Amino acid sequence: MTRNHILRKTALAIPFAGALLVSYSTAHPAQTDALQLGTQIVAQGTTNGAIACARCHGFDGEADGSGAFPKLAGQFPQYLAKQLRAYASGSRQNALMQPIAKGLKDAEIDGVAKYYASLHPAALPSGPATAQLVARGEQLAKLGDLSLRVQACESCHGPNGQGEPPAVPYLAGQYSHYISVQIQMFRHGIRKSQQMQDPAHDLREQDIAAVAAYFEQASRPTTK
Amino acid sequence: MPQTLKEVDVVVIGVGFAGSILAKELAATGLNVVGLERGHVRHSVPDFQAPAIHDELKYSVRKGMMQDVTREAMTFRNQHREVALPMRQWEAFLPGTGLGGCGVHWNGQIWRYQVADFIYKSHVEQRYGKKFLDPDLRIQDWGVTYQELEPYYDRFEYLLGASGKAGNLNGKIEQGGNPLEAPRSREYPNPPLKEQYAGALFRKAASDLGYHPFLQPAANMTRPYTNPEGLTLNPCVYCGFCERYGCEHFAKASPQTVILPVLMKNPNFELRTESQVLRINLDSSGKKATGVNYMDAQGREFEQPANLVLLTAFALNDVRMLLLSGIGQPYDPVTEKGVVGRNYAYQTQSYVPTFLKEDIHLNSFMAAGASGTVIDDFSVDNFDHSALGFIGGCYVLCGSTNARPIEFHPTPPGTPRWGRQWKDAVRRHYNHTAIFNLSGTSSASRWNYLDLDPTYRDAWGLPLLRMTFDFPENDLRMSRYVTNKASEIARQMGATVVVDQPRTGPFTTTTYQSTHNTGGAIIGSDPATSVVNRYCQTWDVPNVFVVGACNYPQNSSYNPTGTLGALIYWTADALKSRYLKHPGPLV
Amino acid sequence: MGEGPNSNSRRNFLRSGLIAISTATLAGEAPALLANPRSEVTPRFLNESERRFLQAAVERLIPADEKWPGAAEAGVVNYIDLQMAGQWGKGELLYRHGPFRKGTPSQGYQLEYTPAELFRRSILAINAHFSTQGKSFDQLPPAEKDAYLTSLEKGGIDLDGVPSNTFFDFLLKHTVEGFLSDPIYGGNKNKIAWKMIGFPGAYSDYYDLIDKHGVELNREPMGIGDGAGSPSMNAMRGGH
Repeated sequence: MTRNHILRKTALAIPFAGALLVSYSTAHPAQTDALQLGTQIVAQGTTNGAIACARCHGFDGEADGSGAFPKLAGQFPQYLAKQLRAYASGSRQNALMQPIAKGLKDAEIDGVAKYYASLHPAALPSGPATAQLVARGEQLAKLGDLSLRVQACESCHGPNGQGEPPAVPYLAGQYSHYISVQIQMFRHGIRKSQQMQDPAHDLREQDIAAVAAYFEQASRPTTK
Repeated sequence: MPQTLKEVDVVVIGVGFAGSILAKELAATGLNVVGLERGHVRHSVPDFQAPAIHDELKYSVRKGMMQDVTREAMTFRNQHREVALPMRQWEAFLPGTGLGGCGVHWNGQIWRYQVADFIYKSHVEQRYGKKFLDPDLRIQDWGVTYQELEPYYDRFEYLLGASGKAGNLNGKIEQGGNPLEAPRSREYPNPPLKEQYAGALFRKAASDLGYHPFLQPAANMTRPYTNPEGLTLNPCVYCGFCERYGCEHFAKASPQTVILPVLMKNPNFELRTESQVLRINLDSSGKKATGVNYMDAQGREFEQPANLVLLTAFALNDVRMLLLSGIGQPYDPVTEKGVVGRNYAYQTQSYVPTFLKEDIHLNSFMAAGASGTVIDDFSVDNFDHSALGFIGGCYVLCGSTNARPIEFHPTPPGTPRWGRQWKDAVRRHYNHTAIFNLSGTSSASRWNYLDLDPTYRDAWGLPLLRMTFDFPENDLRMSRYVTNKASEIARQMGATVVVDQPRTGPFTTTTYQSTHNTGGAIIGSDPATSVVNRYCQTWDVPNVFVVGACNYPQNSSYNPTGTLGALIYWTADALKSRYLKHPGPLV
Repeated sequence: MGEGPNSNSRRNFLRSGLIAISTATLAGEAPALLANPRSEVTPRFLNESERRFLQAAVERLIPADEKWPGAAEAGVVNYIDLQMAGQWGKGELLYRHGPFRKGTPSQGYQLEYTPAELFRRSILAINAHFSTQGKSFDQLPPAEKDAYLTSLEKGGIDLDGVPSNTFFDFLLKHTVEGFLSDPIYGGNKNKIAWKMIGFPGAYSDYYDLIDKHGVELNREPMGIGDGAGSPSMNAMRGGH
């Protein structure tokens, strides 16, 4: 696989400090078109009114660090595309993402998905969390909990939370706040998933915080 | 000198599906129940968690969940005239052990038998005449009918969250299900599994040939499900590590997921694991059980007095326990006298390896334990045997339960067993090969039986069970016929190579076939030819009940567990509504 | 060779709570450890001449080709070494009470040798056979190696009490196991065999993929050892 440095075509003012402007990608020649299309939309949005993804998710896919917007860098393209389509159809609800996704054509969805998938996630420092909380999270992640009837998260989310491509997303390095919110969404049935329904329901509040803290600090391999 | 414990109402020997359910039912009436399990405690967390549980070497090759053969093996011979030798490792069949029993590491293939199965002898004689059967066959009627068991099938299926589509709802044939099934009173609790690619290809080919394909009913959940006991199970993720493994997702119906937590909450119930029951004790009349003797992990022996003994230790172990305890007369094939050990049967398995084009990526590793698309057109007596000269049949299933590489690396005929060509063939065909699984009836026969071995002993000094078994000629003829029919479907699928691989004799213990060991303590209407009456109560000792596939007079085409579930609840009902009110013979 | 019914205290201890990936230090028990996987483990059972024979033999059973390594490079001999040093090799998973009698093919393995003993006896006999001719198996050209292995496979050669076809089948079985098992057992190095056939490994959630018929799953296989946790985490993993 060749490494291509993709430089920005236009310099956009990005409203957050410290965002990386150069990304590395491992683009297969046959997919360069999709990747270029994706890069453009990430930077500029679409003429259809879809806002530039980078505004919230960053060019580097690391978002703004708040956890309000998920890290997308290195996420599996099929998973990203599936979520965009879910937003577009309304089967996944989010006031910000739904109109954006609705405004994307099929090829554009694939393009932006490929863009973010091609990025290598940075190993950013994680938020503060007690060792005890992380340990509890690790226990749930790798062992589950019999009294809660919850299986180990990593049986689906992969070793150390790195995901099971293409369908099960990585959690390692994802913002703990974002993870917590998503589990709450599954728990209350706002976000629908046959697989997440029961685990989200069975975890107690402190367990949700624990797995979120654990996964945020779990390391991801930096190469695919 | 064994220490005598305080008497309890009920002792349950073996805490698997049968033991758990019966214990729960009886403890709920207020009786105190002790469950004696020779194996260890194990739970979904931590014992069944992935990835550690997905260890093919440990669980599939080295049989990690199975009965400890070093302490309690069995001996085997094909023929009565041979000397039986120990099965020094399990291969052909894998008796389980541990809390939850086989219910932990089964696939979840949950079937009902046919109406005809329960009156098999009468049915065959009526349809084909009394002279139709090979002279050495010993098929019998059960003494209880499908219609009587139907509500109990239903109860078991709802306990387990069985996934499927009804094909015959109270006599009305339904689209999407098995049109040849026995009538059921209501739908399955959950919809069928997702179909595999191989199954979809099979479905088309089978339909084209005029057969009636449907998705195999499964005790693997297809959606979040809360059962009547209030326990919630999760959907199966088709991980491909079902049979021989515990389920990490709480998605496979096992005692742990469907009933044990409720049972364990009842203070009337006490579980004792690592407790090896040595025998059921009888009083001086020989007609009443007084309890059991067992040995714990430290080698201390206890006498546990009880008023009622439920023997639910898996088919083969049940028969052995009866023999060791002197309950019922042991069967002698020479004289044909005696009943305990008689009518041992199995499952007549065959296969059709089907090699497809290399651009068809089957992804057979994506599988639930009961994944598969099936036709029932050649099972039991679903087709006319008049001109065929045998009884019985197979369901024909296409799909996979797994593609674990040590167990599954098919190569076409003519490929060497090793070397460069073998390696290339494995690589080329791994993801493009489907193996049809044909599960066939197993006819009881005069010379297939179980008794105690005269020479070899277990770690407690007790005689091992001796198995004398070979496939009756009838069943081999049946297998040839149905496997040939199945091969036609494989060819219709556009396979590049189809291997018609019927079962041939002699039965060997060296390769896996099935753990559907049935018979030896069979159910019936006549004490001269059965061990238990229609309520699974032994004729000889009314306070001993035996519930297991050992009750089956012969084996049908289908996996036995669904029918066992019906028998379990049927027996529970008989205990609660009849026996407990008036202890004594129920027939 | 007879053992009394209660002479199994060590094995009972093994059965009472250890799993293959625990970091317990029983000699010969643990496979390549989660916490510190090493591709080459200090030999535990095999001596030098046994290794040399096996390395050469397994490479003929599953040879390297232009694209894919074979059994030797995959660490199959390392796997065999660990297995022979462990429970399995010591016969602790077999019913080993006598009397031992020759059985029918349907009755399976009836020799009184443990797997480790079977390997040792057979390889000693094979090596002795070659050294009387001033040769050694590993130095033969490939075609002659294959011819010799084929002669073992056919049977009719007595390897100091072990029928040669019994030894051959044993060797082949262990070679396949060592090639295709999870790398925590010392073989299938870098999951090379899984990559070759396309088996994704021990992490397997296919809920969203099973109905995408024909989808090509091109991903790195993942094994049991990939999710190594903190040492205290690994110590918690128990079960049977």
